[in-house]
Amino acid sequence: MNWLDKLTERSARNIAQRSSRRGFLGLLGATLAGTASLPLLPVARASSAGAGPEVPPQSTGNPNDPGDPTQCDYWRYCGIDGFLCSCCGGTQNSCPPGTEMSPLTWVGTCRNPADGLNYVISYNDCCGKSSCGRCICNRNEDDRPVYRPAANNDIDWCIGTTTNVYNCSTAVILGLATE
Amino acid sequence: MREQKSKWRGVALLLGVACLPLVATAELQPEPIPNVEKLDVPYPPTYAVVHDFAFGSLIDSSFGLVDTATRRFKGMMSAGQFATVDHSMARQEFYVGETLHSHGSRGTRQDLITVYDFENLDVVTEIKLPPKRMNLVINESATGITSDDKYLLVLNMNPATSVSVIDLDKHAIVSEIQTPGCSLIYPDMQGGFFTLCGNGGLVSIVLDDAGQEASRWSSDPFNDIDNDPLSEKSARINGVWQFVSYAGEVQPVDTNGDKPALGDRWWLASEAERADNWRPAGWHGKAGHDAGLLWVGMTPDGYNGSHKDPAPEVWRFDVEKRERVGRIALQTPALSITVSKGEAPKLLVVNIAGSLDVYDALSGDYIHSIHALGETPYMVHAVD
Repeated sequence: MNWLDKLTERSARNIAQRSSRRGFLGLLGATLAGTASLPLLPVARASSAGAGPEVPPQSTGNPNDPGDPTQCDYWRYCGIDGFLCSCCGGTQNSCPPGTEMSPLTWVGTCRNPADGLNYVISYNDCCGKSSCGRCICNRNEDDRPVYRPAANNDIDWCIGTTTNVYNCSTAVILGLATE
Repeated sequence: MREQKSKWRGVALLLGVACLPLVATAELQPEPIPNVEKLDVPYPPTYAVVHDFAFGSLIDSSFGLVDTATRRFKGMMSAGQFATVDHSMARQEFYVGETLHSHGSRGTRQDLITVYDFENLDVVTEIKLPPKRMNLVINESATGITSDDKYLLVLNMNPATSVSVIDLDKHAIVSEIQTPGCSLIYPDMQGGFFTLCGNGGLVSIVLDDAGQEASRWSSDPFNDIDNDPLSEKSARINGVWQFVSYAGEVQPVDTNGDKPALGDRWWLASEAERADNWRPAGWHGKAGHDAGLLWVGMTPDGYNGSHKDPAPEVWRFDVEKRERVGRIALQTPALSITVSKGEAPKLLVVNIAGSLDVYDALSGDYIHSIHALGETPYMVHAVD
């Protein structure tokens, strides 16, 4: 059961337990709420299944880098916000053809379940084409407000690129985090 | 059988022909072309703008104008990517901040404040910005209008941060104020603004009559960004910005004096409720009213990273008494909320299904909903 499923189940259960006046709509809302924290409205919700069976699974091929990079619960995505490049013609650490990787970015620290080590992850955006629209994923562990930009995922990081049109997001390993 | 049907059809036809002269007086008249609506101004206090972020096609976002009383969609303003909207009731204008490219997703970047009039929702003028306005997922504090209604302030980032000051009489940029290490715009009650900084402090800027920086003041750090940061999504009540931390502690910042003054902190939720993981939530989950009331979206599923989650409840607080005075279990969880002004304020909720729900902001009673407001509507602004 992945992170989204757990959240979905938890939200639905909590709301159902807490409020007797909520009917189907409330439960539907709770289910939607669980799909992801960033507003997953009609179109985004349909594509969110990137985390779902519509997108064929992928693997890094490295047992020390476990998980499916098309899934929101892939370990590197602990601070990501946007469309997963793995679903858009790129990979977890490369941009789709014809786009441009932003040199500036925000960073997160994610724990690799394979070796138990914390890695600094750079969420470089891919730029120059409009929204990929597939596999939306928003996780906000350790996300900080906009006034601390390097730790914020609301910013269009297509800065220093030919255009600042956002396509998708990668999660590139920068190295081990030092405590 | 077929013959009988045919006979009746014949009778009906005859009757129809016989009736023709009788309905001639009700004949529909030719209608004018072209024919474009105007809006009655000033708007009634029930209008609101819903911001469709258009996540699936970011370069083509929009703002829908709705009447929250009649549920009528009144018109829209089209916008480029990562747009913002402000308005001036005195000037009867909207100011849409937008980033466009000359070939759609390619070509020369153009950053604009596009000015629309209330009556026609038509472009009055375009104010060209340096191509560095901050492109940010919907955030009310990316722009602001000064309390004297003279200047529109626009946040820049390239990645150095600054604020462009636009004279609303001249529809022109008059200055750019450097704000190194600080972001976002919170207008004060003196015609200036303050901004929040990465070191946990704030910097306040005084503007002179020409929109130039007259002076600035830096506070000591007061915001524990590492452990429990103040959300930048805030609400102003009687000149006091009410910031709320991720864990739910309120930090008032009073801008009625010469420089911002920090008020005493207080918690939204009781210790027991916090132990049950009640935390603030919502994409923009705060709203204020000058009657001294603060509304905050809340979730019972708080965790590290829940600060942008949808909010199944909205709690109402008396900020003077620092206590909760109401609790609204929403029909559908909220992404963003706002509250209209006036004596009978309405709580406007953009919910996770993409609809706008209208509640009585005081009783919490659900009134009705407006649906089909775009692809990914994330935010609502009362136009009052």
